[in-house]
Order: sequence, then structure tokens, then C-alpha cells
Amino acid sequence: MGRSLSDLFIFIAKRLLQLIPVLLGVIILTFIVTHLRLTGLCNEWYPHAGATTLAHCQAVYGAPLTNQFWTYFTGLLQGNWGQSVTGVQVYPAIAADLPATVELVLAALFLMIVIGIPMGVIAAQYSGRLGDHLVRIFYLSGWATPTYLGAVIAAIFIGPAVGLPSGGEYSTTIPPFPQYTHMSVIDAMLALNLPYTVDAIDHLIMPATVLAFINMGIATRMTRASMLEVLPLDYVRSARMKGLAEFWVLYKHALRNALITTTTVLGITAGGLLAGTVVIEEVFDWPGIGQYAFTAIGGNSSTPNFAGAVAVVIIFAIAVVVANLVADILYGLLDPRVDWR
Amino acid sequence: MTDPVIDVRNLSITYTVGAGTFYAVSDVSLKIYPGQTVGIVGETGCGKSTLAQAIPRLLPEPPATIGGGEIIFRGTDLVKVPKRNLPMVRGTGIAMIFQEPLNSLNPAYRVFDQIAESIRIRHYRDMGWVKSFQGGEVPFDYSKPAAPPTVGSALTRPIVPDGALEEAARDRLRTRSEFREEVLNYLRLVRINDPETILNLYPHELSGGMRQRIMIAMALSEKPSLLIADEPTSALDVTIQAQVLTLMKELIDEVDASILFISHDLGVIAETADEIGVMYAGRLVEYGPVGDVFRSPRHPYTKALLKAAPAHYKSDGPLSSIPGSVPNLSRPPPGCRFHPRCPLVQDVCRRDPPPLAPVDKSADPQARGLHRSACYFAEEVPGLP
Amino acid sequence: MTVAARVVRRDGPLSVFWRVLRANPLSFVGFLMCLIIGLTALVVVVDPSLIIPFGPLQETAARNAAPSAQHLFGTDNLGRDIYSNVMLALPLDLGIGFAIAGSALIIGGGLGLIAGFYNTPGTAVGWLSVSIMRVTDIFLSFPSLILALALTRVLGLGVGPTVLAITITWWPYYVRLVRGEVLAVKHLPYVNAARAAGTTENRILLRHVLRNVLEPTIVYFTLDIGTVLVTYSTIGFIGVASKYPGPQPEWGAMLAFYQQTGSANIYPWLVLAPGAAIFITVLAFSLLGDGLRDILDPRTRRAFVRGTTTHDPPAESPAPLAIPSAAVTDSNPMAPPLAPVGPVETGAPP
Repeated sequence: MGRSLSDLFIFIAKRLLQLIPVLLGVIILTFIVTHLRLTGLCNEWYPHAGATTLAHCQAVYGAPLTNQFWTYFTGLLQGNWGQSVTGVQVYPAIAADLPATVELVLAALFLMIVIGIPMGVIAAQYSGRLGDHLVRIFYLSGWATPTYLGAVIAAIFIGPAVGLPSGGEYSTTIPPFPQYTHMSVIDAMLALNLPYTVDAIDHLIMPATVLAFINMGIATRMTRASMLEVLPLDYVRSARMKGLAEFWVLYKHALRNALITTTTVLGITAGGLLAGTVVIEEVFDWPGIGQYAFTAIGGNSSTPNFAGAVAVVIIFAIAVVVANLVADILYGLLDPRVDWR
Repeated sequence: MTDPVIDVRNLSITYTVGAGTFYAVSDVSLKIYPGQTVGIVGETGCGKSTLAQAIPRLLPEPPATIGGGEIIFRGTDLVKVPKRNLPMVRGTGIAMIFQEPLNSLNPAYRVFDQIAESIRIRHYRDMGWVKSFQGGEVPFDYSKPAAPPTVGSALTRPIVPDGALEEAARDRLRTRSEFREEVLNYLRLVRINDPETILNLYPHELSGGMRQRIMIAMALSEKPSLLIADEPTSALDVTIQAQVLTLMKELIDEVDASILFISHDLGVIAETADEIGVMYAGRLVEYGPVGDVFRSPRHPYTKALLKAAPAHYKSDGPLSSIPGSVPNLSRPPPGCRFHPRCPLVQDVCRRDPPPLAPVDKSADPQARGLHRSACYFAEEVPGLP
Repeated sequence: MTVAARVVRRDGPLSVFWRVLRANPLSFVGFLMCLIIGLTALVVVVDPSLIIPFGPLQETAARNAAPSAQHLFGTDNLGRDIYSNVMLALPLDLGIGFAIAGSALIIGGGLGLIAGFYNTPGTAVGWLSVSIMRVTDIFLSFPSLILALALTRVLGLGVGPTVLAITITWWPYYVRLVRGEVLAVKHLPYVNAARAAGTTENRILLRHVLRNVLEPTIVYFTLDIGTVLVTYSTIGFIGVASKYPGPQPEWGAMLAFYQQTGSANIYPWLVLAPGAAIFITVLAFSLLGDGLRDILDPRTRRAFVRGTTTHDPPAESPAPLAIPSAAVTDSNPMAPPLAPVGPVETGAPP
């Protein structure tokens, strides 16, 4: 059929190629959105700046728009993503911060899959009855909690109550050690140090849990809906008739098919997770892109960083596009009916 | 005198749905003996599928409730088996095939994996790794003359959990290639000509008739004592339907299992069944050997049903139909459920539901093979136009 | 197993609505909560003095007081009554939610109808539809919060500009939703029957397609109010929208202020009161919307309809799984494949 290994390469390659115009569009749109002015750009972003800063700002951003875009675009490709008003280069800062966010998001994703999907299965199994209602209250509570509220309550009240730390990647008592990947847990493991690893995991738990709790609703909801669609089908009944335990009927036969549609919401989930990191990293003092974005936008009355803000918007959009790509590929892998040609 | 493979006694099933209670099946009694093929026929909505799925307790229990009665299989009342023990009971004696070829096989797994799964479950049960249902010996009808052993009967002789071993190598774990050989045997049993190619295909790459055969193979690979076929040919094209029916008839001769065949198609039932039951509005209204029931029906409903089936070579006059409509099962009529539409209706019909009694009043009610009818005026039915 | 085709005698829509709501307890609770919140907002707008004892900036003698009969949610370090501030923020936050979601619905929905319905290739309108979808897809690549934050920098700080910023970020979701529904309905057999009877395309759009599209869109809208609210208050938390303390309080800004001034762990009510207010409001709309979605979902809806049918429940099996992306989403392959026809998922709030 159209599903051999070489077909898979064609499948992925086609999608990668379709990625390029979208990325271009993303960059252009970001540029337009951030550089289009109603008032003076420099006045808006740096209202309290001195004369030299303003002059420097004008020099960079006073030029005609198309010129600006060209310099910006070529700069992007060369690795020069601009600098903040104090002269700090954007690209190295983002490169150092990105892995920490990736770690956080992956941890949250892991929790969402391990907890959220079985909850969706349970909700479908007990559809209309108490189990369903309880699951619904759980994930709707997560949905209804704004990220900042969940983060603040977790950091201030729940963290100390449970004994889990809520600040930073490591305890302050730990001396700095080489960070190869900038992912706290991985670096600690690479340093072959068990107490550091445990400490890193401890610090990861609270922010990842809050992030997962808030975004779990979408996965649970989608799993429940597709399980409800799959459970009445004949092959599920056939599986029961074979004498399989109910657990295997649900997870091996029903969920395997229900997951196919659940992957379609992976893109939306990624968007939600990334947006959540902005607040969560700020509250939990997690050194990732979210925190960088928070300060770059000017949150908490910090000095805004225009170039940094633009870069962050582009990065987040790229991440969402990539997540959609992964979702599409996963869908093609999971559903045997999809032809890879 | 053998015991029946399955003995359904006074089974009642209700559905509780938001709007009310449906009395889907009321007081149905049925006995299926080893080697028999019993057909249940009736219109859509008469409860035959509900009955078929209730026997292996396949109905989702919250909306459906078994209101009363017993289902005796191998000496155990299946109604009383708690839900968590049901997987043990299924798959070691009762197998089922369904109607929709589109959804009958799991689209995510290949054909080999699906058939191998049932074989593997049986294998684990044989080895004792998984608890199985120790419900006593499988009854075998010694009155039937022993047919010459065929590949089919060897492959599908029902499991005897602690009986004699047919294969000496039952104790060791089988490898995938041995499973492969056995799967191929079952595929050949259902007359698939090129089973090696089929093994690695996904269900969506096969035609409806092929999928139905694979489902039959999957069911037979469990070596059931009872095979329930819930309208297996209703969703197929007529030509494919004929093929599958021919296959089933040949299998019925070859295989030792009893078959419960549900259909709304009178012709299909006539071809395959030994005994037939007619259901109407959740009740069995007539039961008996297929020839007797078809040639001289003893219930007004059966008679009208047979008359309504168009005869292809006649074209005189309009089609006959039964006046009135099927009752609402949440408010079934009192007494005999057919009475609002019956030409023979009397007061007693409106009051008391007639029991399924033998037509021949002098016969022993417990005897096998009797023609029974649930009508007070069964003798007058032959006189109807 | 086929279902007997019967004419279903349904009771009037209002009684069905009530029965369904009662059968679905969580959504009924949500409905009641929304009702109460709406009425409270109305009271606050019309005559605040009825339920609000103090002004937003009014400093009372009780400093950092715990919740009491006089100060239901306590006071902060300058004696400002938290309860009053929370209540005064209610109409603002609620109104913002409706305004943004409503505008996005109208703009995005309109564009979605066009993009879905008039998309025959080769015509001018067809070209317009394609460009609408391209732009929408690019917008959809941004997490809404991030784009909204960037836009606030462009449009300026304050309530008005922030509302505009969020609306600009929000309409693409409605375009995708409405377009998807239109595509699903456009070629249904009965719509084709109307075409065969000679109905013009415009008429079909207005009478047949619109009616079908309206149901899932309303469900999405209800859920969206909560999401918008959360987004707005998150922006308020980040500090670029409303200023607190000020004459018009806002829940997110309140929470940010008290969290940053560091007194929240000693006086938890400062943070819990506005947090609870937001949580309850969003939960109310989410319960209602989620319940509505279940009600309108054809799979679960069958259980609630009373009729005189005599079919054996459960009825015929539903359609098989979603068609792969290539067949349905003809625009951006990066967009996730459309789920089977039915209510669509919303994005999680940031």
C-alpha cells in the first residue's frame, strides 16, 4: 500500500517543505504586527529612556519599513537577532533559555499524557455517571484556572504544604556545575550526581504540574469524545467476546483507535503550553524563554526589550507550527488508513 | 438425552434510557442443543439482537438490565456471574460474529494479529496462565452419527478445559511462526484462497465479504460450543451474501459448534437453520423445526410475515402487509402483544399473554423438536387467508 | 442493526431544553451560576450601592484585616475593602469577555462563512476565500496570549487597546470553526436537494447552512467567554493593561499587585478573593458550555430525546473515524485535521 519506509520519507519531506511558506508568513506577520506604529515606536517601548537611547532607537527603527524588514530578515538567518536596549544580544540569551522551557513543556506533556488520557478513558467508560462528572469537574477546574492564579496558589500555598520547592531550577545550596544542555534534570544526570538530579526533579515537579493541570482539559476532553465514538463499534465488542480483560479491551483496542483523533489537538495543546510558560516561569523563577518573554514584554514593570519580544513571538510561533507538523505526522503513522504517498 | 449447550429460561431485558424504560425482551425461553442451528427471525426492533447479545452478557449493563431469568451455560447461570468474571466466561465457549463488516475488525491491526490474538488467549488459558471458566464438560450429542473427521471439525472442536489434550505440545509456549500456521489454517477453513497475502493486510484493504469471512475465522478460532451470528449477512451485497451463506452452511456441517443465527431475512434463515424462532415485540411467538414453521405457521404474525415476503415470480395485486404498526416497547400492549393487529383477537388475548405452548396438545411439553406457538387460537391460523 | 425509521414526536424546544439541562446536572449548575453572575453584574452596574459598601480606593481603618462580617474578603495594607474591589471588577471583566468573544464571533464568523461557502477555485471570491484562509492559518500559528501581548505594545496600554489587541488575535479561531462547519454542511443531501429545487446559493447559505452552523458556534462562544476572560486577566497580571489600585479594578491586576507586594502569604485573602472570582466565573461558563456541547453532540443527544420511536437502543453505530487530513483540510496542511463533524475543541486558555 502506500506505507513503506521510503513512503514515510516522502510523507515527512512533503510536510517539511510545506513548512517553509508558513514560517515565512509567520516572520512577516510578526514583523508587521510589531513594527507598525500608531505612535512612535521608540516612545512606546522606551517611555522612560534617556536621549542617547532614544537616538539609538531612532537610528535603528526610523528607516523605511521594507529596509528594516530586509535587514531584520538577513540578520535572523545569520544569527543576529538584535539586542536589547542595554546592548545584550538576543540570540545567545534565547539559545541559553530555550532548553529549560523545552524541559518544562516536555515534563508537563508527559504528565498530561500519563494522567489526562486515562482520565478521558475513565470518563468515557462511565459516561453520564459519577466517574464522568468527576473527571469533568477536574479538567474544567484546570481550564477555568488562569495560569497566574494556579501558579501563585501553587507557589505560595501548595508548594510549601507539600514540601516541594517553587523557585528556580536548583536549590540555592547547590554549587553551580557545568550545564551542557541547559536542561536541569539532564545536566544533573550528566554530572552523574544523584542528589542534584533529585533536587532538579523536585524543582521541576511544581511548575510542570501546574502547567499540566491547566492544559489537561483539552487532551482529556478529546480522548473522551473519541472513545465515546469508538466504544460502541463492533470490533470493541469482538475484543470483549474473545475474553480479553476489560482493561485490554479499552487500552489495546479502543484507545488505540481513539488516540488517532486525539493527536489532532496536539497543536492547540502546544500553543496553550507555551503561552502558559510565560507566567509560570515568572512565578516559579524558571530560567526559560517564558521568563525572558515576560520581561521583554515589560511585565512587572521591567524594562521592555523590543528585539527580544519580537524574537520570542517568532520562536513561539515556530514551536506551534512544528508541533502541528509533529501532530500531522503522528496521525499519519497511527492511522493505517492514511496513505503516505 | 443430552443437555442443551445453552438454556435460556424466562429471560427479560429492559433498557433504562433517560426518557423511560424499554421492555426489549420479555420472558423468552430457548434451548439450543449440541450441533443444532437455531434461527431467530423477526422485524427490526423485535429484540432479537438484544437477546443475542444478552446471552454472552455483552450488553452494556447500565442502560440495559437483565430483569429476570437465567442463562444456563455449562451448568452455570451466566446472569449471576459478576461483571469482573465475565472475561473468563467469554471466549471459552461462546463466540459471536456481527453485522457490519466495516467496523467488525479493528482498523489499526493487521489480520494476522487479530486472529492470532484469539488463538493466543485460548493458548494462555490452556496453559493455565489465565484463569478460565471451569464450567464442566462440553455436552456432545452422541445421538448424531459421527461425521467423518474433517479439517474443520478438528480445528473447531469445542474446548474441554480439563479434558483430553489433542495436541501433545500444549504445554510449551508457542512461537509466532506456529501461530502463523494455525492462523493460516483457519483462513483456509473459511475458504480464503490466498491466505498468506491476507495475513499482513489491514481491514480497510479488504472487501466486505472478505472481512466477514475473517470475522468467522476469528470466531471459530476460539473453538466455541456456541456461535452466535447476529445478522452476519444483512449488510452485504446480495452476491456476497450468497457466498457467505454458502460458506456458513458448509461450516455448519463441518463444525461441531451450535449456531444461533439471527436475521430478519426469512430466506436466509430457511436455508441455514434447523429450528426457528419468531420474535415479535420482545416475545417469542412461535418456535419449531424450520420446515413445520414455514409450511404451516401456527401464529397469525408468522403467517402474515410469510405472506408479506414478496414471491418473485408472481406479480398480481399489491404486496400484502400487516395493518397497524409495531408497538412502542416502553408501553407494550397488555396481554398478547400482537393483539391490536391480529385478525383472531378475542378478549382473552387482550388480558393474558399466551404461553409458548406446543401446537400438538398431546405431546410432552419437555420434548425436543416440538412446534410451539404463543397463540390461544393456534389451530385457526391455517384457516386464515 | 438498522433502526426503524419513525416519525419522532418531540415536545417543544423549551421543555426539551429543561429536561436536558436537568438530566445533565453539571451543566445545569453552570447555567445557574451564569445566571447569578449575570444578575450580580447587572446590579453592580445599575446600582452599586446595593451590594457594595465601600469605594475601590477608599481606605478604612481596618488594615490587613482578615475576612469578617464587615469586610467580607478582608482588607489590604491600606484598608481598602477587597470585596468591593472584586465586585466592582465583575461587570468590567464580564463585559470584556462578551465584547471580545462577540466581536471575534461576528468578524471571524462572517469571514468563515465566506471562506467556507464561496470557495470555488477560479473566481474572484474563491481567491478571496483562499487568501482569508492563508492569513488565518498564519495567525493561528501564534499562541493567542503571545500575539495579544505583542499587540498591546503596538496599540498602547489600557483597557480599550487591550480589548482591541485580543480581538485581533481571536477572530481566526472563529474563521476556522465556522469554515469547518460550513464545509461539513455544504454538501449534505438535503442541501443538495434545495439546490436541485432551484434555491439560489445565497439563500442556501442564509437559510440552511447558517442554521446548522449556529449550534456548534454558540457552544464554542459560551466556552470562549471564559477563555477570553482568562486571557484578559492574564494580560492584566503581566501588567500591561489595567492599573491597580485604581478607580476601576480588574481581577488580574489585583492579583498581580498583591502577589508582587509580597504580602500574599501572610494575608492569603488578598490573592484568593480575586482568584476565586475569576475561577468561579470561568468555571460557570465552562460548565455551561461543556454541557451544551454534550447536549448538542449527536452521540450523546440520543439519550435525552423523548420520542415515540421503538428502536432498540443503542441504535446504529456512528460513522468511522475521522477522514485523514488530506481529504478534508484543503488549505494549510499544518492545520490539524478536522475532527469528525460535531462541536470543535477550543484552545486552552493561556
